[in-house]
Amino acid sequence: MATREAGKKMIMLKSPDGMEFEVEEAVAMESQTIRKMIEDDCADTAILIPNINSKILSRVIEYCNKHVPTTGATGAAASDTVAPAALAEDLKIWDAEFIKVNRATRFNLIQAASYLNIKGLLDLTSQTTIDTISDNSLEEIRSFLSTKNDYLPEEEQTIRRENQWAFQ
Amino acid sequence: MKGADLINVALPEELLEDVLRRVGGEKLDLDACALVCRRWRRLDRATRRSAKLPASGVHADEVVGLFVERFPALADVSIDERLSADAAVVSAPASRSRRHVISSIPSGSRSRMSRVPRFAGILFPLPSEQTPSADGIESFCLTDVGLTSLARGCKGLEKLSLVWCSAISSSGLVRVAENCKKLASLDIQACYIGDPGLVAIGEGCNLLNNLSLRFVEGATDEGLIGLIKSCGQSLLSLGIANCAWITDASLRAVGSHCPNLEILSLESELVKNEGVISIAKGCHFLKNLKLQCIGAGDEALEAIGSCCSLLEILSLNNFERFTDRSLSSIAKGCKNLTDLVLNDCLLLTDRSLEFVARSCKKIARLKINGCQNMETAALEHIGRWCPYVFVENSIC
Repeated sequence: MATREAGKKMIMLKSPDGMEFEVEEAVAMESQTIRKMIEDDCADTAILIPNINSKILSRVIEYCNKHVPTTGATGAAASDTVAPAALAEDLKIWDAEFIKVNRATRFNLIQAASYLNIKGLLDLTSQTTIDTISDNSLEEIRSFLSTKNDYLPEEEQTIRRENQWAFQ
Repeated sequence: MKGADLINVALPEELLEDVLRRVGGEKLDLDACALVCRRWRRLDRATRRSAKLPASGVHADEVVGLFVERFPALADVSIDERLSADAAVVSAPASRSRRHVISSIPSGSRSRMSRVPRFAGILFPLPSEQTPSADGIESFCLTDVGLTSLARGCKGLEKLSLVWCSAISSSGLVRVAENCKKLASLDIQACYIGDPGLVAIGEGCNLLNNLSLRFVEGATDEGLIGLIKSCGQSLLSLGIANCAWITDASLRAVGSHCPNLEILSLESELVKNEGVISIAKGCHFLKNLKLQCIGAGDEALEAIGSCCSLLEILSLNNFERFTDRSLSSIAKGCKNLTDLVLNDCLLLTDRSLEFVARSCKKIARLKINGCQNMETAALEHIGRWCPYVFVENSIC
């Protein structure tokens, strides 16, 4: 949890299960949803984040903390600054570690990233999910993504046959 | 965790759609997604944008019709008669010999060719009420019936390619023009299309920016002029190759009605200087020009040189009538030239390249092939003046 530093404005984020997270405003504003609330003056010092439990919210904050531009991160344009190549490479490695979570957590992170509108996190979580599709058999996909197969066998056969109607 | 439906419970419709969109356009991946469960199939069907469909086989019309019914959001469709709807199960590509049969039949009777019992037996069930063709005549390739179901089913169509669809006619294109108002790109290859079809496309599809006609038979200048008069303003790219009916009259229309044209590829034996000059005078934004017109000579290229200063890519093929004079004017007028391709331009000498080398500093790619009067000196000029050039040549 962030500690108060001189000159940095802090924001309190509350999860529905009662936890409170104090974060720098710049970190919170990695979320376009929160940025909008702050810019529209809809937020006092505390913002309730509905639907996202403390476990997921803490992971999201961890992600934002890492991804907030480090130098002079105060202005509104701070998150638009481009990180140099080395820093980008470092972030990539960090992301790969970060996303090593179980499927339920990952799907919850997708939801959270979408609600909070954090593009980088949404890209990371969705892409990781989708990457399992290209190189695997159907059964593997179903099991990786934990989807339930609700097809009747003959229905599945029909679809397989119809798939051959088109080329490419 | 097996058996628990995590992702479908966790993600609402828009979010799952957003995730699945990242699969990309690869058919195999999309098919795999659609097989995962019903919800995924519904999403795939509602959102899939591109498809390549077969146009030969007795079931071609039905297959296109049924496919379009399932995927109403298609925006980019290619229909190819070299692919067989019947081979979908047999998985053998349409045989070459059959295409030979098509081309040997007089063009006027193409749409009435019928019934080669080559594909014996129905290999997969289709709804029985759909008979192969509306007029009761069995055809073994896509007809206007199939094209009409595509036009009516996919009103959001933006890009359409018709390749070797020998049995479609103007009336199919008229249906496309009536229904697909967003059509931006139309590519017709080796089809027999009359003027009314082309005119209708011009009237119906005001967003058309790319038109490509290759080996198109049955039309005349009148059809193309009609199309260009209606939607010439939006046209950015035009390709015409091996259409034996194209004359300077069509090019005059391009010159007067297509002020925004940026890309032109022209292969024709009937086009003369006058046609190319009209283009040069009318299309000042031309960036990419490929010419293979044995009827044009120095005057044509002098006009390009003096009018098209934005030209970046120039490709000249099989010219026997133009000389170093041409490239001298190109070099003088087209300072932005980055790519120059010279194929079989017999009269050009080293001086041509010297002009280009001294004047076009942005030249980055140079391809010379079969220009017998060019020698090493030409390349020395290039080497001296153009620091960034990549040269590819053979048999100078």
